[in-house]
Amino acid sequence: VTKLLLLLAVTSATVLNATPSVRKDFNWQELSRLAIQDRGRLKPIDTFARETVLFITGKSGWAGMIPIEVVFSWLVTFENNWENEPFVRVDYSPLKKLIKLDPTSNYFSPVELSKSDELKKILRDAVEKDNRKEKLSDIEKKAVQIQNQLGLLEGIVRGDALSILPNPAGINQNWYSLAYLIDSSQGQLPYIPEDREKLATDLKSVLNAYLNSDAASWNASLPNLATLIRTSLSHGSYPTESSLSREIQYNKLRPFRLSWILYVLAFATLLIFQVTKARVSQYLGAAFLFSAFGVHAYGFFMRCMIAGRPPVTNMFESVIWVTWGCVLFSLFIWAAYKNSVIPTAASVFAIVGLVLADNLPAVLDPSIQPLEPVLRSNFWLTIHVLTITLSYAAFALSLCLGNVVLGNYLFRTSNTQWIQQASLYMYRAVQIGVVLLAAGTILGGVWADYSWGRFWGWDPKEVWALTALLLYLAVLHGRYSGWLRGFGFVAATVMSFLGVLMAWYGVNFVLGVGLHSYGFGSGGLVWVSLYIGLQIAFILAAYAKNLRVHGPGGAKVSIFPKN
Amino acid sequence: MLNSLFKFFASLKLAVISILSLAAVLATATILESMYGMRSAHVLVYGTWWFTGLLFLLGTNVLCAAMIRYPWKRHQTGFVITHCGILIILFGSLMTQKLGVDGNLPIVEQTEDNEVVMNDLVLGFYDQNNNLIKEYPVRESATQKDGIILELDFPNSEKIVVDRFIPRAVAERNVENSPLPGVGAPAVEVELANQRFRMKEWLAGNRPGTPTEMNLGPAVLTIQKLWSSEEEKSFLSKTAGEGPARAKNKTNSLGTLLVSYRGLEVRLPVAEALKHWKSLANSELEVSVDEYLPFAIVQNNHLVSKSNVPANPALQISLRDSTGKLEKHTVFANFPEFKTLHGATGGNNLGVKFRFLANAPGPEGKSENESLPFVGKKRGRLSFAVSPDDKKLYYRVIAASGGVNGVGEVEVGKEQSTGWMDIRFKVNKWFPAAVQEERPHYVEYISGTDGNFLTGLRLTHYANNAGEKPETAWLLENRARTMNVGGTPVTVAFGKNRLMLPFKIFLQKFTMGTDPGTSKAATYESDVTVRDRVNGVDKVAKISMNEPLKYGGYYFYQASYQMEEGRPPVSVFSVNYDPGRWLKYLGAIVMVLGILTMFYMNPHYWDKILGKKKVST
Repeated sequence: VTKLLLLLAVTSATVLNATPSVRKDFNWQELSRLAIQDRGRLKPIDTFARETVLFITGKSGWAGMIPIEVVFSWLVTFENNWENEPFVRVDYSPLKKLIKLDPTSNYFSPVELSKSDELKKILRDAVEKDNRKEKLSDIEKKAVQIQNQLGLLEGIVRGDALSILPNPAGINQNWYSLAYLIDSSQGQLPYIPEDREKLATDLKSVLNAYLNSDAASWNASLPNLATLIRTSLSHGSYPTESSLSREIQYNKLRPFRLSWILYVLAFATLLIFQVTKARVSQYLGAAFLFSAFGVHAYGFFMRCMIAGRPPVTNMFESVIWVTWGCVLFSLFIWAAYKNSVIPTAASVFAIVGLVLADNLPAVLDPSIQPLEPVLRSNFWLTIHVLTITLSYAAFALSLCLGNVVLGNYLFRTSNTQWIQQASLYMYRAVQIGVVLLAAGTILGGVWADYSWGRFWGWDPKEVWALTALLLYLAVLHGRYSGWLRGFGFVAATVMSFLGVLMAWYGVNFVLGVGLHSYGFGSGGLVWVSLYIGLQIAFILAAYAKNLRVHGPGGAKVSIFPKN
Repeated sequence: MLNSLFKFFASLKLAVISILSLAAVLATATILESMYGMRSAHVLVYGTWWFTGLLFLLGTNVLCAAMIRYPWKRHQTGFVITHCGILIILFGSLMTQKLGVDGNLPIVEQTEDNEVVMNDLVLGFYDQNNNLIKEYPVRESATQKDGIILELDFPNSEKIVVDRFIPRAVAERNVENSPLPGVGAPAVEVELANQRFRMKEWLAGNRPGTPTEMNLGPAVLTIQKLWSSEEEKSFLSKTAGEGPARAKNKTNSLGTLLVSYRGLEVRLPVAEALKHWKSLANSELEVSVDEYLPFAIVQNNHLVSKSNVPANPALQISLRDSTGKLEKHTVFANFPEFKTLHGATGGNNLGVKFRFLANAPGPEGKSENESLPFVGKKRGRLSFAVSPDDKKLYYRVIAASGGVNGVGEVEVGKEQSTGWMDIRFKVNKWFPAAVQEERPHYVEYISGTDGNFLTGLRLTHYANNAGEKPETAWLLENRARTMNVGGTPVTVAFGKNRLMLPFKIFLQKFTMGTDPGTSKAATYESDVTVRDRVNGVDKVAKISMNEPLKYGGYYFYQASYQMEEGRPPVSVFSVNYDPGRWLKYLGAIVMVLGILTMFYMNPHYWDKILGKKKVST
């Protein structure tokens, strides 16, 4: 039986009878709106519960329970209901094989995992490797993740991961966890004795209500506890109601999911217009596109407000920003050339990016986390990252358009007029990208100079930004020199995006070295390699077709405005 | 001929080729960096002459491309501006590379310093008075390199050859029986095992008197030397307690000086002998400690104490006999193998050996080696002690609960039970007095780490006598050792090159803020004072992340810090002097303006404006 329950003198008989099932008519809202101090940030318990349940179970809920209900159930009835329940997600087959877990299942019970001697051995090796500063193998990384999953679970059960008791000394001081209610630590809580007493009583009635599945008394007693924590205990050191509910709203709305759904609709209707030329589908497509773009922007804005900074520091955030930028530039070029193939192509990129961001929390971590010291309160950081990533957006647009052009080379080969036009849009996107990337790389130098005293330090991230810039510069110079015409320009532009991919993804996820280490992650390499392979195959196929139809030299396309 | 060369250098095709080759080189360099670390990328690519050459080729290309189009047409405005910008940036970078300074300045809290650690490595030779004889740059390589890296000749065809460079080294501890009497501390190789684990580790210290402690899995291991039969008796008593090891003597707070002379050994508390002549029993000799240096470093060819942090404790000692013969010795607690006598001219020294057993924390091997499964559990204690006559090794087991589980004499190679957690222990080897050597061991491949490895060297010393076996010595970065060259002690020191600033920085206080509720660093801040004695400046400043201090053309950035239990914090500043800075900024602005003009201004904008003006006038 949890120590917390013992302390609060809840009888063990009630605990034994409690079930982990869904509590009917329980109002969880009051609880989810309380604040918790977690990983350096104050957030609503709602966010904590969602992140925790996702991290431990890989799902956004369990057995019909919403995340906060699951977390509460772990806290209260872990030893009776959860210990032997297979709910901890382990899906990495090589590790499962190594630690002799059932290969057909992805879920295992905490007891099963913590009893595994093989797992312990891998972890011991991992610790030793870590001490020697050696890189961990994938298996060891996953083993460490299991350890972290179990550790977080244990933290919840023991109460010390639940820092929900405010520190009256200040909002940014260390908060107190529920574990402080146990034994001797209670005296360390900086509350007056009456409040401490009331905290115990209120908590006890809430727990009893839960254990007895008594919705009425739960709904009646929870607000008391919430008010006590929010007002009496905090002495005003508590996040505002509006900031907490904004984050809850953001969690609930899931703006990036909503916007990719809208982008899908926009793409579909615009595609119909491309085929049928029906005006109505163009208008409808535009409407979907603008609403998707709006929701996308709104989500971005919400995230800025919640984090208190521009979201520019991890892969998830940059994907959100780059997809948005790509659509933004497509709108510009669309406005200039009035061809709706431009936003159609851009929406594909937005869909791919946002679907990935929405569905791969292990690779693209959506949780909001505090910044590394070197990134704090820095104007130049924000400017240089936003500028560079915006250039990625422009290049991504040129990539999407490039693939449309390649598709035309492959399937509508005689359509040189159209190819000529679309290549010009690509060229414009590359121009936007080159200016932004050149400026952004230099601004990065300014920031590095400002932060580290080095304008340029041959750090892999900056080297790859430069490499990507050089690739596009080679394309531009190749075009001036007459080496790259028509097809060559399109193919080279599309291939140059691999430089962007390396600077954006590769440095952080593949090379994993350098000073920009705060954005490091892992995963997705297989898929990215697969994309690169397909892209090259696609270019070769289009090239072969072009030669076959138009003879040596390919289609005569002279697309560019003279300058 | 010259014209066609000019055309070649100005050609667009050369531009495309040089841009693409630069891109390819850069891509390769980043991959090398991920495999071998940042320094290697510098050694293999960025720092090489051919890389500078490639940039130079690009610059020539850019310059010629702009020159060949002269006189410029108005629509080429953007193109010319852009190329100008690139040239200015390249020139600025060249100035930085040739004239700039880029290094680190670590300062211990409450001390001042002006010694900037640079990136290049040097090997220095010092005579017995710590005067620099000569310094040699050490060429780096990306992987371990054997062969003659440096050859240093001494009179009588004696020479020292640096024949291995180890770019990434971890120190391997090598423990062996002390070759010299009176030098070394007891050492024991212990194995701990139960059904779940088996661990083996050397337990060895630098100081025979104070017990050395180490955590090994679930146990705390200690080893010490017993000096008297009382200590021996107390160690072997079955009553609870920690044994005699903990007794601390206030007057002994600086440590003990071990004096060996004429087959005798005396232990003198340093505090008592400090600036006092003490006579050595049964002899006419007298000894006095002139100076206690907690953190001895060589500065301006003199040994001084860098601060009161006992990081490298040393004593300067005077020794005299009744005839008035006077000897000066310097003895280091951490480097007992150093010869202590200054200016020895052979034959006439007084034949006294010193050994300094400092009470301060020395650079021990592992002090904390917490393995996950045991975190939070109370540990049992397994103590070893060497008998006063150095003939026996005793053990003493204290359970986690505090009771004595057993005492007795150790039998080498025999497993004995500790009586807790089913753990057995076995002593494989032990030495009453052992010396440790740190031997650099090559780490072939790194990835994903910060790459902060030390470098190492192997030196071979060929004596003048051809028949004598050459002596091999290992040197890890930031270490020194003494070698006997032609009968005189020469200290060889290996490490990063240093640059002395003309002023000093005093670190008042280093503070680290954390994210609320975590121990994750959020802010770093150093309160410093610039002490410029030449110009009589005493300037108080605060250096924090992104807020550098600028003084005398140098920038000081908060780069990192070192915090260790029981030591004052060290703040590390990145020191930077960059005469090319303004050029790089200027070039950057010019280049971006050029690109904007080129891409976004109507190409014939100026033609139109200026053309119209012509018409109107």
